[in-house]
Amino acid sequence: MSERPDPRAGRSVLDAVLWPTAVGLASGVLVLLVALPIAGLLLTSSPGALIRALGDPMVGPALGVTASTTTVSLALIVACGTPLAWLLARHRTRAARIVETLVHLPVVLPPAVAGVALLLAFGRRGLMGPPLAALGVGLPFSRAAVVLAQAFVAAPFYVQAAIAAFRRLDPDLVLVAGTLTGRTQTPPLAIYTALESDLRAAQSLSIVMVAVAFAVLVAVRAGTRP
Amino acid sequence: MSTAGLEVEIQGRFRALSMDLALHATDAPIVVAGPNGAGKTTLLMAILGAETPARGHVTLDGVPLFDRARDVDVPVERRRIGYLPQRYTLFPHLAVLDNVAYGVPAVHRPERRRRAAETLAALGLASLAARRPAELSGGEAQRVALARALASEPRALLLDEPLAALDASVRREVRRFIAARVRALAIPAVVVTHDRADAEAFGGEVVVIERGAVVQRGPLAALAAAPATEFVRRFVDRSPEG
Repeated sequence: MSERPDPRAGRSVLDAVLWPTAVGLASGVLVLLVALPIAGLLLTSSPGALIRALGDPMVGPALGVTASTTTVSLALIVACGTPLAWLLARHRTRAARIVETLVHLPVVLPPAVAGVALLLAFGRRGLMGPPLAALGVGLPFSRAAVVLAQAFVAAPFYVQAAIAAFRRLDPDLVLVAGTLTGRTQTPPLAIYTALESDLRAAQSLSIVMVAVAFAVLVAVRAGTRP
Repeated sequence: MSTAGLEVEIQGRFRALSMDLALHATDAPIVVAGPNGAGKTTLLMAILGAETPARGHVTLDGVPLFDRARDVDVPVERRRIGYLPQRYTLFPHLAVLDNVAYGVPAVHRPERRRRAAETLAALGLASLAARRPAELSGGEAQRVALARALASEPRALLLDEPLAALDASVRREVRRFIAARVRALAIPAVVVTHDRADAEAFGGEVVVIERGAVVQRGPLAALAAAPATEFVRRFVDRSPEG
């Protein structure tokens, strides 16, 4: 330990009080922003009423459609996103950077814009509408459309994570490995329609979604802990 | 005209480096030394099939693996050449036994694991079988990496500074271990190194390359007696480490 004066001595008040306070406040605001709506979902009606609302005949099919469409879109994203991420991680060309940016774009699009964009691409009068109609395919408001929309919104998250993972891979490791040989009603939509008629059903459905999302998050984080 | 061993002839430009050299490894290891950027790793990559020379050929026991003139270029995974780089390249998500089993040329998993266990036992590494790579020391990891390369029953073996990433304290022991196993294999092996001690341990011919060409080759003693370049003189003079 040397005896030279601490260059930060004049900033001790800033360091000891203001800075920690600012960090704490800023962090708290964001946590509240996320936690309050979820608390609202859970606390604004009695558990009994919520459980009864789960018996609503609309809830079961909506959950079923969500489970099946997310399974298909997940398979699609993994099957197509993995090779794409591999290509983008291995090639640092200008074209690769442009494609990478393009693939990340849906993350920053507002959901409404994403919806309009999908409609203009795959809708009956969209870019792909006439060719799809010629093939006898009517995408809008079908399960296939839900899968497309889910893939559009979720693929960037997967591709981004996969690119990062592939870039961390030691090229020698890869080389060594080579030497060794109906009526579509998903919960988000159902929630929207339910809001018009029955707030309780919408609330129950929302809580189920939050619980599923939370369970998946916890499982993934537990599974990846070293 | 089938020739035993590994015959390599490489000509062409690899990025900034122009290479023109030939090697012939039989059943004793060849030690390749040279300054940084001389083309040592590029040479190994060309033998392995990860770099494509403009001209030349790579032949293993009379079988052409690469021949530009005859349009032969066997892919990496079918060359049956083992590769041991200096960094630890065990698969981090697999236990030691499964790392070694990965390369065993057998169809069924139980058979692969059985033969992997045999290889580990033969190398005195059986006690590590259940460990994860993260639980191994550098020296243990490099021994397991050698076991994995050997379990794949390679017809030739390439080692790229296999001891460079190890602490000096364990380097001597791991060097003795790897050199003894590689010599006992009696298959063509090419060992790239910066270290005279490696040349002593592996024995055999020393090939010194600079700027993509061979500047001197022969037994270590012959190089020490009459070093052809400043690099060779410093390489042979380096006192053996403790």
